[in-house]
Amino acid sequence: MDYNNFEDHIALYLDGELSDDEKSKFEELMELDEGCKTKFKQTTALLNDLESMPKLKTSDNFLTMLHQRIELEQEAKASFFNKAIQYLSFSNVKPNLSFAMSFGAIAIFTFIYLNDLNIFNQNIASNKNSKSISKHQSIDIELASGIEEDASLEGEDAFALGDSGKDSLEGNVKENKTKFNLIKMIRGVMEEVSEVPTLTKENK
Amino acid sequence: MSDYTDEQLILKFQQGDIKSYDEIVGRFKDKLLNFINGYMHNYETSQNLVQDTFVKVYTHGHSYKEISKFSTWIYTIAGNLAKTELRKLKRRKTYSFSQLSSDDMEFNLERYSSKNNNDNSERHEQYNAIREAIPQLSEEFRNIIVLRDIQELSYNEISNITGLAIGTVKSRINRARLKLVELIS
Repeated sequence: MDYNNFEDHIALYLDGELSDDEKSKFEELMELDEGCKTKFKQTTALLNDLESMPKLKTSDNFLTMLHQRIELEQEAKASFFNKAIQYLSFSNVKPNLSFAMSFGAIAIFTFIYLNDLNIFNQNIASNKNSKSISKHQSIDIELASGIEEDASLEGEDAFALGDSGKDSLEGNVKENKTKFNLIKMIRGVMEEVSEVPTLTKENK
Repeated sequence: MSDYTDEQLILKFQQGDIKSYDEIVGRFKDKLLNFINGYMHNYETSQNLVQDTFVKVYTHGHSYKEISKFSTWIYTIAGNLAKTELRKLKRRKTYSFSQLSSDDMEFNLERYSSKNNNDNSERHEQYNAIREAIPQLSEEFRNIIVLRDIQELSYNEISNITGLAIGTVKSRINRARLKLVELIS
């Protein structure tokens, strides 16, 4: 321990965390060096002041205000649930309006139900078909070759629109080609897929 | 009620005893106010944040587990709320706490307990010098001075609240005190 690291040991000394040897060295340094002594005195004076210094106090009605706030928060929570329940129940709604709302709800429910059924049926069909496709991978290859030919024809049709627009349309045509390819591919897949169950039966 | 430890009180509150909650509020309200004011330097905002802290204790009291000291838990909640509020204020850039006007500072000083009326003028001046110097410390020093020398928490508790290693807390407290001495003198 020396003058340079004396500061680091002040808190340890005050907290009684220095060993006997370190403690005697610390005290010796304080006696010999006036700077160390001053630093130590200033620190202890500051600690005394901090300890005795009046602290900030909360207002006298703090607890009352706190309880009011807690009550308000709980009421807000409760009123939210009550509102939700009231909104969902038809107790406060006029008879005509409640009839209209009920009718609307039934109509929406029926629409969703029927729609879901269709989607459900489609999903079942598509799942069956996708399984069949995996069994007949050769279909994909044939289909792909067919689409390329069709797409090139569509591209030629697009160029036949007029000579003046050729250059400006060149980029669009390329994009259209890809779009046509995709559309044709999807159409082709759908057509082929619809035939697959009969094919599988025939194969069987 | 005063014989119970903080941990026993929160346990009783978890079982539905509201009086235990009030006792906790009584024990910590001023300590938390001084702690939060170390961040905010604004009496009203600090008091609101102390209330926020106790509302959280009320609504989330069940989530306290006796694996840490209750004081560590509540100081952590208060510290997090203060940091969030500071971030919000900094984003809004309405004003900077480090640039509080002297009027604001005087207003804050008036809020200190009535003990200061009995203090002799020299001591009173010294206290005011300390109060004015603390906000000038960097946040890392200010928090540690407030927690250790004003709140009188243990190094272990400070370490838990600040997330710093105990060794870092000990070395930082030295530097913080010396910096404060330098600012006062």
